[in-house]
Amino acid sequence: MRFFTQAKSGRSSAAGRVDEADFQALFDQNWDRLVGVLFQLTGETTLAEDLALEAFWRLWQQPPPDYENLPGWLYRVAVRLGYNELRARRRRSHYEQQGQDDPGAGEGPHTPEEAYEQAELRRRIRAILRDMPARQCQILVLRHAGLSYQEVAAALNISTGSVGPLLGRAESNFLRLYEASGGEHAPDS
Amino acid sequence: MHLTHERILSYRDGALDDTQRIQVENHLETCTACRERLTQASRRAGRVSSLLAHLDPGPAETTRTAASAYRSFQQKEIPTMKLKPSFRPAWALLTLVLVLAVALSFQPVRVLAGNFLSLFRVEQVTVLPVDMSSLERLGKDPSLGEAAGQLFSDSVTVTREKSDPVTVGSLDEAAQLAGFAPRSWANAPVTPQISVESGSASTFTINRQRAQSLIDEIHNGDILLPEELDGVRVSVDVPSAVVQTYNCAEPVQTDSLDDDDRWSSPDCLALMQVPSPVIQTEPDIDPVQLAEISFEILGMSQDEAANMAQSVDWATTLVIPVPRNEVSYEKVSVDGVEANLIRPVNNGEHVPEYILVWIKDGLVTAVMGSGDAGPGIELANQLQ
Repeated sequence: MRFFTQAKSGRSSAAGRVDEADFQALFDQNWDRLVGVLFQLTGETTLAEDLALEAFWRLWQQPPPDYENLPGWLYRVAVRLGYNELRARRRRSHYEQQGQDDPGAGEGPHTPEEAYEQAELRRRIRAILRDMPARQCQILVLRHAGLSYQEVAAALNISTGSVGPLLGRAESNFLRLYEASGGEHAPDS
Repeated sequence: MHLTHERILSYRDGALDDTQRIQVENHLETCTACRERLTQASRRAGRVSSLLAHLDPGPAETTRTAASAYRSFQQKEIPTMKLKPSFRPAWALLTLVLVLAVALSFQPVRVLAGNFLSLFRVEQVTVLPVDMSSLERLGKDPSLGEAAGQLFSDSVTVTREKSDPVTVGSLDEAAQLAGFAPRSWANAPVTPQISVESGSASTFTINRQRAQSLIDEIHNGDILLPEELDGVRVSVDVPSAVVQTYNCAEPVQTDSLDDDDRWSSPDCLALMQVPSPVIQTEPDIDPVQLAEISFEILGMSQDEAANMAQSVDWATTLVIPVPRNEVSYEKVSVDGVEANLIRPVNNGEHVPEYILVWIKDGLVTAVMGSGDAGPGIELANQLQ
């Protein structure tokens, strides 16, 4: 992805910040995808946007010391914020979780039953992501958002060579947990 | 030779360069087994992807455009923006005071023949509530704060840098890295994340004149640093610490225990163990006299300071000065010894919300957590 090379030139301003034009370009190019990743994890548009803004805010306030690979840093912080948010929910009481997912996925209008089933399915899938080891969960949503192996490696702070094995384990684990949760009988796609 | 699983996934995901891709394709043409494995891998990816697609935003779940979001950003309308809690500077200052107080209050370690140090071990911890209002000026008056910071950084030579925490897989590994055998929570509900933070060593050389003029700025009183303090070198060697965290969130920006994000999980408990720091002064200084001055700097009257300095056995006691009115503390009995339970009075967003600290068998042990201290005390009592 082009920004990964471009960001290497991310200069620091005198104030120890990322150059503003670079920052805005980074913002424009990554906003949608970042919010997409965070929506995957949280299921709430406002929350996803807030967390994305927070990730950008942290980058603006406290950029990594060498200004290298800013998108990697950004995705790392965002996906960890999202993952923590997902995990924090487990600890809230069950009734609070009810209705947290808006039944909005897929195309077109739903009947109430379909909407309910869709919301249930979302809850189940998020519960699986939540219970997976952090990196496995993160690699799945980052790949789903279309990040390349290189971008995933930068975001998770691992070598590009480790992406494949980690992804393989994450996929198997995810499908195993899905089946264990009774997923075989759930509506697919 | 069959393709590795990793190679198949990289091929599937378009992550190979042209040469590698052609090699794989050539192999696939002749190898049924690998073709089958590729089909399986692709099917798995398709299945995962179709399941995750359920989590994509639906038509009703539109988000703002980058341009609109960026405008908010510029206007700093960031709802979840976590302002660094205002107590931070106070804690930073507290740490500085703590380091100084610890450094100045320990019995000097004797240098024996042949550079052999008789290591000094603290056996107990005492919490000392002090009125730190006089020191608050350091935080509020930027030029004064800067002067203090400057004096501190000019006076300190770091001889061994503290490094980033290293995550390890087992306690044995931690023991090997840290050089001591840490205990762990016997009945822990979850497996801990274990990390080792290498300790730091630094030497603090007292510049009496500069310290005196700073003290004159803070206190309009008559605190006089003794002449013999000038040029005294205090070295502090903090050994490596082993940190075990239970049920904590992933740290977001750093892997350090200071990362507030760890504490976003309410059940997070952290157990830290570090062998007693080693303090050495050169030449020997009288700890009672120094303690007395430290207490005066911290805002006690001369009489109070003298009484307090006499009442502590400096050879065996680690003194933690805490801001009066801001921090509450009580003695609790854990792990067969007396421990100090310290927590900020106005909890607000402070994390962690309490620290339980004690010393046993030469190890300074601390448990940090949020909310009720029950689980922390339970952990402390189940160490083995």
